[in-house]
Amino acid sequence: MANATGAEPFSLARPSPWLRGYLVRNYPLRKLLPDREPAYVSSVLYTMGVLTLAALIVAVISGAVIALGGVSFWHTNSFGAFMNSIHFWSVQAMFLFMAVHFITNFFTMGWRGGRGWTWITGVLAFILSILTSFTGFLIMTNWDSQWVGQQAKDAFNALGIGAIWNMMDAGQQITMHVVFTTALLLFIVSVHVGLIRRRGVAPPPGAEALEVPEDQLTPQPTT
Amino acid sequence: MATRTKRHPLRTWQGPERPYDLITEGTIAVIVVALLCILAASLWGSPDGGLTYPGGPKSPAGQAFSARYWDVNDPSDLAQTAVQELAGGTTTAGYGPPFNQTAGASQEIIGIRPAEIAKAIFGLTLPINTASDFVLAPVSQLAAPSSPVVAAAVSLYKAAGGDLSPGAPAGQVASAQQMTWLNNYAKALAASSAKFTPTSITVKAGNYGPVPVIIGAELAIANNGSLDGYLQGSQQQLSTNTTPGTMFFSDGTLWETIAEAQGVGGDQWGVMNELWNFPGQVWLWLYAGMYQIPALNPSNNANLDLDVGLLMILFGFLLPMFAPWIPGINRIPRWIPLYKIIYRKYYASMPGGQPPARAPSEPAPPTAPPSGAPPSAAPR
Repeated sequence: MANATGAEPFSLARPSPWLRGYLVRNYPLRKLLPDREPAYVSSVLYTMGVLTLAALIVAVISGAVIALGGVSFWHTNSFGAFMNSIHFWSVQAMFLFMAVHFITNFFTMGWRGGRGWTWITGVLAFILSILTSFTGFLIMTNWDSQWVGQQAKDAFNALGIGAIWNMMDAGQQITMHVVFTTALLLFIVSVHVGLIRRRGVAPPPGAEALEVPEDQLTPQPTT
Repeated sequence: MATRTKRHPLRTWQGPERPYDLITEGTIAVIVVALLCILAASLWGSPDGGLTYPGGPKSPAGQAFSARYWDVNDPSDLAQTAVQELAGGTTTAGYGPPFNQTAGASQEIIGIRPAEIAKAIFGLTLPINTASDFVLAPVSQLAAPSSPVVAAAVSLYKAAGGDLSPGAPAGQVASAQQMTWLNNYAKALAASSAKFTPTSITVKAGNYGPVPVIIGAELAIANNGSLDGYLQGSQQQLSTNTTPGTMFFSDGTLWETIAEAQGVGGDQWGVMNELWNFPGQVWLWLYAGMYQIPALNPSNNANLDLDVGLLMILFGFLLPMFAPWIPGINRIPRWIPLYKIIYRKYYASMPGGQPPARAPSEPAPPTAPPSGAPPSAAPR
């Protein structure tokens, strides 16, 4: 097998060389696992992205424990109730960090320099997070979830979505929350993080010229 | 192979850098957030409220609304709602798709009814006949076999007509004869002389047909819990579909009373709130807020949910998604240049201490590093 050069043409019959080349070209290891970052990334605001991701990880782990116990066990089991509390607060933390991350990137114009898809996948992740947390509120198997589902059905029905997505069907919402919206969210977040690793964070306005295309890089002395 | 020129080739920052490790930062972040969540969970727990409202009984944590709870705490409301379910006079009966064929009930905008379009594609996916599904069928199945009086009352009622097919329009659920009985009985139930207990109703004598026996049986099966089993069950399989019960309960007034008492009513920013002082789905502020906009006439707008849904697609989805490319919106960060504060240390370290002023509409800068900051001179 030849090493990838990044210039392999696409072929439907043999797509692997092209994919290998694409990955080598766009996701070099020094971008995927960096040990340096631009000096301007020194604000605490730049930790909001990784904190959002960390809260998502805590939410997924605590949610998996609750799901393993069954949809109602947290009402009667103190360990389940504690896991539910961790799940609840991790989601609150996630949205808090995500909101600051979102606002920061808007005001720093994080979409500059070919980072449009990074922005779009970020907004998609935000919307999917809302849908995921919403379906979580629908499967609490208490009065609160009954009320939220009964109220929310009207907007979904008015838009025609309610015909196939029924907020009051607890069984369907368990699938939506534990499998469907979470899987979609994790996929979009993976793409978002991948794009950030590929493109890096946008430089300060006015400093764009310090981002140099790969083929124009001056070789750096090995440190 | 010819080299394609990419609009945005992979670039590398050649300015000042600082040491950093992705794995270390990620690990620390997960540990810190996990500890914060454990701390918050230990200090405050999480909401698992029951059915609390002024004048209501003490409710255990996590209690859900049920027909039994309804009957025990407000048999009058249950009885009056059941009568309206038989008459096709409830919100559920007149809802339209996806629950029934009631004409002109679904919300519209410029003559387009998305719910009707969905019905044309998928059919009536959640058919409900309020008279049959909430009253006659459970009474027939749960009470009639052990009570000849109830069985006779159900037979007499059905013989008087009415459309009991799944998803029948509200106006066809009861016949004229049935409507006479139901209207008479509804007035009697609303009278101040009516007396209720969870298992009995006392009203003045009148032309009610078999209706009092049927409603009495409805209260009895609600009181012994079998109606909940019926509403949450299925004729063939075990069911996790709570739709029928939820729709029946929400036609009553106790349902809304509890919600308003807990501060989660639609006019109280609804689904955004959480019980007590817990933070709820704060991120739904835009959605909940739209229901409070006077211009949408929230108290008297038959198409409010559709209007809010479409506005959410516009302002909650498309606007943020394409903000970078919407003229005006993408200028806001230039008009309110918070980035100068965020990057103040970086700009202070640059020659002149000021950010270069270049608007996005101006030509892109040269790709080579400026003479003031050669890559080889960048601090490592």
